[in-house]
Amino acid sequence: MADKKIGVYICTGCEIGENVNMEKVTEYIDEECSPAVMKQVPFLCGKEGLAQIQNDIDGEGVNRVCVAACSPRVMWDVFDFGPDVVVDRANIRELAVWSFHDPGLPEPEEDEMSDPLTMMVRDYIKMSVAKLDRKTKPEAEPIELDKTIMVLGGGLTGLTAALDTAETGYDVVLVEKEDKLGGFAAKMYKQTPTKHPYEKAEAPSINELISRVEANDKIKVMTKTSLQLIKGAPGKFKATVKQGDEEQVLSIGSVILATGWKPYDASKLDSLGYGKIKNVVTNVELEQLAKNGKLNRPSDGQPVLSAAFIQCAGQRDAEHLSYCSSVCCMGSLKQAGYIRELNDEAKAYIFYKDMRTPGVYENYYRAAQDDPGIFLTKSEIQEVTEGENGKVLVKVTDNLLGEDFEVEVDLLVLATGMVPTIADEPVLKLGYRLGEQIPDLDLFDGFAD
Amino acid sequence: MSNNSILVIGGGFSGLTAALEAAEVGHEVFIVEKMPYLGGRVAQLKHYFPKLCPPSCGLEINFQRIKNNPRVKYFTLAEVVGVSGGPGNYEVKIRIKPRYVNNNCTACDKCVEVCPVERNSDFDFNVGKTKAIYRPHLMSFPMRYVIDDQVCEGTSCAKCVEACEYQAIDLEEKEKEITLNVGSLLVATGWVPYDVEKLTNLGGGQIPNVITNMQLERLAAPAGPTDGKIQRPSDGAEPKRIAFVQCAGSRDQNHLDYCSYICCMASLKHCTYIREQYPDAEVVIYYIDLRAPGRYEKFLNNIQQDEKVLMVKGKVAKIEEEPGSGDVIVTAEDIMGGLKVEERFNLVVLATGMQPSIAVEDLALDVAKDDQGFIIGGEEKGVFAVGCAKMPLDVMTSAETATGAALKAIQTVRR
Ligand SMILES: Cc1cc2nc3c(=O)[nH]c(=O)nc-3n(C[C@H](O)[C@H](O)[C@H](O)COP(=O)(O)OP(=O)(O)OC[C@H]3O[C@@H](n4cnc5c(N)ncnc54)[C@H](O)[C@@H]3O)c2cc1C
Ligand SMILES: Cc1cc2nc3c(=O)[nH]c(=O)nc-3n(C[C@H](O)[C@H](O)[C@H](O)COP(=O)(O)OP(=O)(O)OC[C@H]3O[C@@H](n4cnc5c(N)ncnc54)[C@H](O)[C@@H]3O)c2cc1C
Ligand code: SF4
Ligand code: SF4
Ligand code: SF4
Ligand code: SF4
Repeated sequence: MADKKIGVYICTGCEIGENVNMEKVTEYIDEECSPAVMKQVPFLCGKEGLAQIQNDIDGEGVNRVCVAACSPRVMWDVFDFGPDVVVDRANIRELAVWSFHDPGLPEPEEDEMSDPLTMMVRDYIKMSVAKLDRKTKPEAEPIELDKTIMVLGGGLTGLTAALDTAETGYDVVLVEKEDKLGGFAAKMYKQTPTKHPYEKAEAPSINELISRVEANDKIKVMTKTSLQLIKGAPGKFKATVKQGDEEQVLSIGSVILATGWKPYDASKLDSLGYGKIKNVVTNVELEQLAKNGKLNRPSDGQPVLSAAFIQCAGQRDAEHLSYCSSVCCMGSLKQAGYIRELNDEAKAYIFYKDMRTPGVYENYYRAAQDDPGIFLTKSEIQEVTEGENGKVLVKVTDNLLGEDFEVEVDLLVLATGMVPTIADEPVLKLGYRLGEQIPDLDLFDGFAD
Repeated sequence: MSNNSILVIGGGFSGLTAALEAAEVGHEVFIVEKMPYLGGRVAQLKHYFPKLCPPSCGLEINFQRIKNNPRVKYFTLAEVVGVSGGPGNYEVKIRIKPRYVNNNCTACDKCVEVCPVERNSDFDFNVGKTKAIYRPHLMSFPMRYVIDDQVCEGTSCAKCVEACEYQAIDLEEKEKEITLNVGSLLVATGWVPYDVEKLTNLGGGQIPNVITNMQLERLAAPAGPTDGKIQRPSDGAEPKRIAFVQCAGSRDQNHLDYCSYICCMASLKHCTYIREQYPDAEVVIYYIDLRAPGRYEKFLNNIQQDEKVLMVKGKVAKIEEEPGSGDVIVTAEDIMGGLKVEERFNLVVLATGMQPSIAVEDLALDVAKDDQGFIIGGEEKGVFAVGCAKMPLDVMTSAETATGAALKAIQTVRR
């Protein structure tokens, strides 16, 4: 860039002129910074004001402009003199004139001192000029970036990300540690409604998604593959992955973390009968039983004619998972439907703290409420015990009626929660001094920040 | 060859996010906003959960991104009046209403001093007033005044024109129409508060000391009509007992046939506003289910620590004014927590829900809606709904839908 030539333009509009001793300001700036040009303009953002600045740029070769006027929040589009002129805004309007309240200090004794507001204004201008004097125009140094994107995890999230990335025109490497794509969604019997009117469970759409991913020639799918190490920087990563015994290094620009979740360790829920009573299962296990067409009692293979669901089995509980898993209310409504599907007389009881089916999912909740075979109640679980003939006894206090009651069911389902995979594993394997994970403020119970 | 530009209808949080995401990967984007400012409903909040930041925080970042990005162009006071063509090649007609105040406006406020006409402030949900010429709100973007031509006396008055030293006011400005060619459209028209007048059993719009959750946001906002003081509308008194009525109009087949998603969280947030000003005030929240899903549970836990906040499961049947005192009597179903059936409060807040704005005011765009007014189609046409135009959502999830839809729009125009 050519030699720096600084112009200082002080607006006297917007109550600035009336409140500031401009003579003192200009005298001071001249002495301290001696800019090439300094002007006071009544209405700097107006046509004439701008023309004055432009004239000095064209005529005097001013290439650095201090606009001593309003906040850069406003008039940002007006004070723009093209790419070769550096502009700095000394915000003397909002930060000084408009916000200053006279503290009622005694008049300054020494003659050269100004009143506080005038001193503020001249200091803002001085700082701005100092900035302009030292600033150099940044020159872009474009580097070749890798445009391939790595998606880590091939569940519903990873598959969707891979497909959308590819359809936008980028190459994708999809890394999945298991031998199959689909994550938990591929293990589900049905899925909760995804479309208006949100009333009925649907056949899972995951297989269609998997086929589309596999058919897309921009996506390279690597199953049974584990990530070993990521080095480098955004746009320039080197990722080492291992498939079988073979290691390769991939050049990638960006990583999408989609490694999903693990079920909460149900063995910690023995107080609810898990591990002690055979016919107590988790919602994850139930999903698999239904998927495999074996929705019978685990103890003896007898049909399930009644089931109870305990919501928040561990979630919303400081001793287990302090957060709400968001999906398990919907999940149990869906699974209650599985039970109802088995037999017209089958009954499902759902014991909840709050039914969390926010937004449009309310419709699904309403549909379940309309089913005479599904009983929903806000309650506290008192005790889970084993009954006769493989039955499970659940004793609850109905919070609405304030009464205790007991149900005897063939199957008790614990609606357990989801724990993020990244909670205790360094999934990203970053080769950074800061550690293998992205440093996190740990605000969200193990979920990525 | 398809047109590479994208049009975003609605400049709330969702629309801004979608527009910026698309612009920052190189597409030209137009935002069409019908209000005189960008930012949508979020601009009206005092704080937003979960972090309780002032709205200017998230919004200013986005405005900064707009300022630095020549690919984003926005129109305020603008509405779509006609759309023709198809994906990759739409022609959109936009009507821009006169603002009567041009670029010269420096926000000096001189015009407001002389304007003789007052109007109810829609921004403050009528708890405050402005002049006929006014600043949309303290952090308005763009920071430019505007005249409400429904109430302005026009050229026969012109006092503001005289007072304006910057020739910023043109009372004769006319409506304009422009045409834009774009490849894809994003609908981010958001929500309106459900009309409380319809909640007659809850005293909606009838009883002075029964207000809505959005009115409470304005009462509590530092730049609001009471400078942030939460007070009773009838007499300005400090409320000592306050009730929140959840699902006011939501989850109700006669009103909004869905859950509005955020009003449980909003009322919990409002407890923090009240506590900030009134350490001893008692609060009762009448709810059906406390919906603080996912990570919001922590927020609920914090409010549950407050011994003076009582959460009661039960549906409110009736709300009446007590003659004389201005107090409000709430009749609820007999419920668990040992409260009487009738309780007296100084102030009652109706946690009203979010209704899609196009359910109230139709959009000149052919796109499928459900019976409640949420958009349920359009993908095949290169039209994508985001945020609360699609379903009731919080800001964070709205922004996520916006990012996702921006990607879909990009795919459409790159085809
Ligand atoms: C009982 C139950 C029922 C549910 N029912 C529904 C429903 O009906 N509808 C619905 O919308 N949601 C439902 N959900 C929620 C749903 O399961 C999740 O939202 C969904 O699984 C999230 O998908 P994901 O891809 O993020 O994670 P996951 O499905 O967990 O997929 C993650 C993938 O990443 C892989 N992976 C993990 N670690 C690594 C690694 N280090 N390297 C490479 N790959 C890795 C995994 O093998 C897996 O394939 C239910 C949840 C439960 C508990
Ligand atoms: C009382 C209350 C408190 C809340 N508090 C929080 C909170 O603390 N945290 C949180 O995350 N969420 C909160 N929310 C929810 C939050 O307000 C929404 O998530 C958010 O506003 C959604 O943004 P949006 O852009 O989709 O819609 P909006 O904010 O409604 O924006 C839509 C924009 O489109 C414009 N528009 C409408 N129609 C047209 C048209 N035809 N043409 C052109 N423009 C149009 C509107 O003027 C507006 O600017 C709260 C909601 C309520 C009711
Ligand atoms: S069961 Fe319902 S309330 Fe409980 S954690 Fe799951 S979604 Fe949340
Ligand atoms: S219109 Fe004129 S008088 Fe009013 S705020 Fe803008 S510049 Fe000032
Ligand atoms: S012309 Fe209109 S806006 Fe201006 S002062 Fe008169 S009434 Fe107010
Ligand atoms: S978020 Fe809460 S108050 Fe709002 S409709 Fe849903 S359950 Fe009712």
